[in-house]
Amino acid sequence: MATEVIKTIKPSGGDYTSLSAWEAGEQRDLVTADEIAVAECYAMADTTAVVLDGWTTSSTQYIKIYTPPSERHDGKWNTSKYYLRVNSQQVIAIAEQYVVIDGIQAEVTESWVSARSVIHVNSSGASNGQIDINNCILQPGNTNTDGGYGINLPYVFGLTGATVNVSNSIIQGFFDTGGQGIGISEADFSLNVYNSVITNNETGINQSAGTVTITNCAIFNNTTDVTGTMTVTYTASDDTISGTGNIDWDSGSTDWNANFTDYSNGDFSIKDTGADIYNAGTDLSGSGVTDDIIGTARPQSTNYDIGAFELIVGASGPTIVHSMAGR
Amino acid sequence: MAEFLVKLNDNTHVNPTKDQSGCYKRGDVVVVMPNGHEWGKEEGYPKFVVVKIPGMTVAAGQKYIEPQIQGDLVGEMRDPTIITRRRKYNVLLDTAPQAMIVAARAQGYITVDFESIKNIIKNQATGQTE
Repeated sequence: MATEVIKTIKPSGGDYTSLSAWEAGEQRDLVTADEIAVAECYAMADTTAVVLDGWTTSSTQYIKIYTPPSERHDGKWNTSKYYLRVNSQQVIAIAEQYVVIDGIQAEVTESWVSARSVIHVNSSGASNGQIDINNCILQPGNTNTDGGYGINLPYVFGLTGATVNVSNSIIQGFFDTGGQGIGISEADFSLNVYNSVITNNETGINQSAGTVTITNCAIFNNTTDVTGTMTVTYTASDDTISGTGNIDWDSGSTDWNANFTDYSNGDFSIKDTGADIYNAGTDLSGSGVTDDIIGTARPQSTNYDIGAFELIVGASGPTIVHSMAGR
Repeated sequence: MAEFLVKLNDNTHVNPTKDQSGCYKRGDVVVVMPNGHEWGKEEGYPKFVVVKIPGMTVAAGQKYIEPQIQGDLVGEMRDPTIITRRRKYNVLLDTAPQAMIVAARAQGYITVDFESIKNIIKNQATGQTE
């Protein structure tokens, strides 16, 4: 079993003071070393773009970037916790096969380039790999004439068979012209989006190539929630999307207010048991989704809730799991 | 004053293409921080050296952490999303003045004004020094 090599990213007293320096200092062949390279990020503003490239990884010897629970957002954008705020075309560019990003807040503030993105996979180096993006909040840090992407999976020359899994994440605010919560335009990407909230973008998810599966998500208040060919189930949207278990909201704030605690201020926790999305999802434990964005175990009732949060009914408090086991 | 975190050793990859485009090399400026930045325990020898440059702002220093992208080399089709080297600029540490090397070894950092270092900062796309 691979050994986890954990290095801390802290403003003071840690191993590194930026994720970028960690990547430069730790870049290596993880397969030969039989290691998992872990960047443990503590509360701070990290302002340098990160490129994950030049490593050798496998499904069991991989790169993991994460925040421990005490340093992690609480499901809302929170500048008192760890976050990346980068004035660059890409905040995190991934050119590696096996990467886990867990509990990160990141925003892009670049204001002049086209195709700015928070997470960008643009290399055949990701071929035949798996990239997991869990419990993240991705957004632009400013308005722009080019909207950009929360996650961009563009055409990549030479790419074969890369899977990108997104779970328990919030992707919001790419509402300027061309803005997309997630864009996928490469036939060899397979994108799975689970229990996530994608809102306030020009297009929520835009598929022009590749395979897309969306399950247990809330995709709303985008100019267009989804475009392209994809399998959408157990998902709430204010566009009409056909598929098993989908919920068709009205366009307008009535349904959003009825379902979320405070959607207009970025609080996408479920309001109460009267919400359409409460107990309306499907079991995704087989896909590795067993808790929500703040670590509450799923399900709390008989079924998974839709969206990034699982509603806790009663006063017993959340079951925090944030397991370090597995990926 | 800006402080540069400069890579001291080459990272390598068995794939030559990935080695060139993806691996940091000796002399690459990894991050730029303001004067007085408290560096981490790993952000020093043997992986890095800190170069402090009086008179340079952090904003001006950002130029030196830009990647070399497709299109920087003459004759290439421009695609700013394709990185061809981790850094467009490289500090030619092996040609640094002896006094600078001695100071770096002794202190873990060097303080040098830009005029004194610019002739060993090379644009790898053009081959020209600053």
